[in-house]
Amino acid sequence: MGKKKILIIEDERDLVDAVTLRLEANGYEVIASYDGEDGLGKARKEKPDLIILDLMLPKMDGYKVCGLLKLNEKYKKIPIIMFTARAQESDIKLGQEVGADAYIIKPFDSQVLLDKIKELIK
Amino acid sequence: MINKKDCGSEGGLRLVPQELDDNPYKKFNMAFALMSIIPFLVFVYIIASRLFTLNIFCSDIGLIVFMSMAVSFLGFYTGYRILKSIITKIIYYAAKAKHSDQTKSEFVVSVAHELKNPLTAVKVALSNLRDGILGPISDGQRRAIEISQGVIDRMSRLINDILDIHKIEAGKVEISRKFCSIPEILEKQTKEFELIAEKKHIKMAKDISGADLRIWADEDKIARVINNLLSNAIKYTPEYGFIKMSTYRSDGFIRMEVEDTAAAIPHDDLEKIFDKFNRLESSAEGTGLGLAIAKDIVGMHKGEIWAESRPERGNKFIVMLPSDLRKRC
Repeated sequence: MGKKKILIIEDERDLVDAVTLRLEANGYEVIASYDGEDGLGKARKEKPDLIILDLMLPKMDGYKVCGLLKLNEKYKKIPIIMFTARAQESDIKLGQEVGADAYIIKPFDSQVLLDKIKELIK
Repeated sequence: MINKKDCGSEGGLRLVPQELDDNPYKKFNMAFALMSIIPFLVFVYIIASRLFTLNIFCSDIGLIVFMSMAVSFLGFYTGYRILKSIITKIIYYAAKAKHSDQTKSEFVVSVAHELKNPLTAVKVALSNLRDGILGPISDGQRRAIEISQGVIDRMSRLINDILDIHKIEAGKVEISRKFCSIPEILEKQTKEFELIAEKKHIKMAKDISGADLRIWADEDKIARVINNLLSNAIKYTPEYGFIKMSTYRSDGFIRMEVEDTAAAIPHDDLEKIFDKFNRLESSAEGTGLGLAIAKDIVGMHKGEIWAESRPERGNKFIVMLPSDLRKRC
């Protein structure tokens, strides 16, 4: 079985590098994108097994990217983990409304992210 | 100085109606109108008591009566203008201070959120190093990484505390109340500190007496209060110390106590410790916000929190919360 493909859409490049390193060490293939529009394009093109999506992104925010993917039959089954620095209950609710499968609040522990990924990619 | 551009066509400040819920000038004008009834009635009385006619103005004292009326109305009008100008200035500066506070608060919140991104990157990078993803590390290197991780965690807590205290003070906290069990919250929160307590050889005990220790409250917020109190107790209690948590029902209230064997807090400091950024001199860790947040949350639930200290024995933090807030509304 080939490596599972994960797309990270996050504008903080250092964070993308650190998470990529961690995921690759755990046997995942990682594709990175640094803004919403590009991320949406890569999600459609690459059809990853899971998407890690930041909330506040340049060009298109995470809610919109998530909503657009979840509304499309072709991509709606791709699990999406939302990354955010905001821990407001209303933000989490909005994330759930647009179809996010999980919500991770920054700063997070690497193990929490790995566990969540394992849980969503079965 | 109040700038002209801040003023409306009638000299009123445009800022005022935007910043305040109700236009205070309406109330001010109404109050002044009511006040003006008194001198008006006095004049009516004078005229009525002197011949019941306006002929008074044609009598010997007519000029004096007319002059005194004119002076009274002039004084009344001048007083009205002066008071209005004073009130305008007060409202203007109050609105300006409120606006400035909001701007500062928004800035702090925005900076706190922005700090979370690089902090997360450092946290993940350090855990990559610690777990040997970039190659094997020595025990000394592992210790150095763990120290750095501890610092990152403290910074994260500080950022979260700052965000929480701003949210509470700005009244932006979302509260979702339901019936929750205090023993269950205590159990969950205690588990979080078991490992640290074990490392410091601190004995933790619980005394949960009586039935129905449920409370109509926001479970996460109450958990935060207990967490902050336990975190404080663990932090200040020396090795081989003792921490006891007790809870019981008392007259429509749930009483929770966290008792420790830390150095007794001086009596003069017992109230100050609940102020923001107020830490005891002996404290090396902590954000200085934990107890302030706990106090705000307890206040939001119409309860009370206070501390008692006993020389040579330690401190006790007590929280009293109404078990069902709906019955008190």
